Amino acid sequence: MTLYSIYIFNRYGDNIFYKEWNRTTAPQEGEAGLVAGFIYTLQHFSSQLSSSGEGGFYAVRTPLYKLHYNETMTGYRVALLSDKDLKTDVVQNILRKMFSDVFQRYVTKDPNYSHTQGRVITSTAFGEALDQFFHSQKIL
Amino acid sequence: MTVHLLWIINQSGQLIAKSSFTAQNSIGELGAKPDLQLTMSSILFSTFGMSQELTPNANPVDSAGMTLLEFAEHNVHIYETPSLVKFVLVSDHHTYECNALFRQLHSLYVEYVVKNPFNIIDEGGIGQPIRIPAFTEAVKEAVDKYHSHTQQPAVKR
Repeated sequence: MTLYSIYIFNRYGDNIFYKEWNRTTAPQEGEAGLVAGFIYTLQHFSSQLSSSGEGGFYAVRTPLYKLHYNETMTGYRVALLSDKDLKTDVVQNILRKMFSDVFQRYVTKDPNYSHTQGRVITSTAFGEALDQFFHSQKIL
Repeated sequence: MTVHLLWIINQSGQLIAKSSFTAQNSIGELGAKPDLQLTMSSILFSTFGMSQELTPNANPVDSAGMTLLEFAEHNVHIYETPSLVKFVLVSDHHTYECNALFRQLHSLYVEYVVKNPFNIIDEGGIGQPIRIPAFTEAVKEAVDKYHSHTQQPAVKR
């Protein structure tokens, strides 16, 4: 299993967290904005195909990598780029758990973090906890 | 396998063919408003380019354009030919692979469209829709073969 990078966006579309592990291609200028637009477009496409109108976008597979997506009802979105063989349903569960365990503990309960527009996660504890979490889930 | 919708998008990002194979309400808003498919196919074309740009492990040999979108109710499959024509299939969410169908559709495209001397590729730079009834019939025939008998019968449009 290989993870390349992770982006977390808030409901304003700001990239509040970015981390990379094994990527071999350097990030380009403005890539976070491109990822934000990419996942927004696909989420919208999914809702237009859906009978319920709510959609539900899980993953994009390409010959070289796979992008996994999950979002909370409060509007936090995560895009996780991994190697192409990581199972979608496995990662969906992991990302849900990431929000309810790691994100909740180290970001939501952090008194120094305010959930306002443009506010980036500066705490190093969240990044370290995320690494440990992914290691414990055996995908890193 | 259930196939709901086929799009063929040319190298400029224009929708040159679309066929529905199931009831209109099986693809939500795109079924209710067919004109929306023109917009969404262009957006899908741009998104395909974005997926190539976002590659974290690029290599010069392989293209990294997206091949499968996994949604709650549907999977969207994308096949790009070497001449950059894209075939897009919207299927049920249990279908993860339809390469055989894509190769067959590509063959039909070559036989009925590319080899047709009366088919106009573009007019003043604007891609023209495929208006070849034999091609449309051949596509429906090919897709019907892949509609599994174990599924409840799909309502043909």
